[in-house]
Amino acid sequence: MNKHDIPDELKQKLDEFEVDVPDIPLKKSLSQRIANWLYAPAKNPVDLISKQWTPLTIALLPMIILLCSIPLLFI
Amino acid sequence: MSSNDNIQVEELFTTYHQQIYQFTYRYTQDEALSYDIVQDTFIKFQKYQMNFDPSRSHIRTFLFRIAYQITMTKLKRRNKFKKLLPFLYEQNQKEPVSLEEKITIRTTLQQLPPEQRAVIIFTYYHDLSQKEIAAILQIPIGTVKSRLHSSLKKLKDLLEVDDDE
Repeated sequence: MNKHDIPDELKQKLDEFEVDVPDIPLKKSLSQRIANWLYAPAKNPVDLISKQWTPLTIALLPMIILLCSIPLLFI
Repeated sequence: MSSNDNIQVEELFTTYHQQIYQFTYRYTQDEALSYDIVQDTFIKFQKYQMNFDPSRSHIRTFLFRIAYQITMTKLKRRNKFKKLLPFLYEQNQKEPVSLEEKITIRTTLQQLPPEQRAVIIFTYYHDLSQKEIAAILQIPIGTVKSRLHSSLKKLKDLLEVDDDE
């Protein structure tokens, strides 16, 4: 079995998944990586409050609040 | 590293980075992750290019193999983090999905088991032979054939495509 054995209808569906390739430099840039990480979609924190109270979450929450407040020291 | 090596890597990057991005994006459906994997692939290639034997495989196969290994490593690492810090990640699987969304090819590909997804992407979108796919995934050709068969069957079922063509 190979590509040519795929039914036309399925080929049409597969063709619908087009990918636009962004400009990617060969060299890695630290700032770009940080930007990618920062702009990656994150979960809505409101959902966290309503659904995600596990013992681990509760234990880590003070640490997260502390880390998030570090930038405030530089204001 | 000599300037000749640099030129060669730049040429390879120009030729293959789009294919590698397209594979990783279709596989992970994560733009930032795919971007990183493309760059990491060529960094790793620079490090291990002496292991490449042109008489044994095509350079494209070698690059795809590196990209696939990096993808697997990053996804495993991400899954570990997800288990450890679940609230830092989106939980798409819990979001309600409309019927229209369910039958799109993007959603359907994500529903395939990862090993079947890789085989169908390499076969259809990259026109690779079963021998090349076996070399990339480090599995026997027979396994590639069975995974391709299973993935096509599952795709037809999920997308409600007739089998009689």
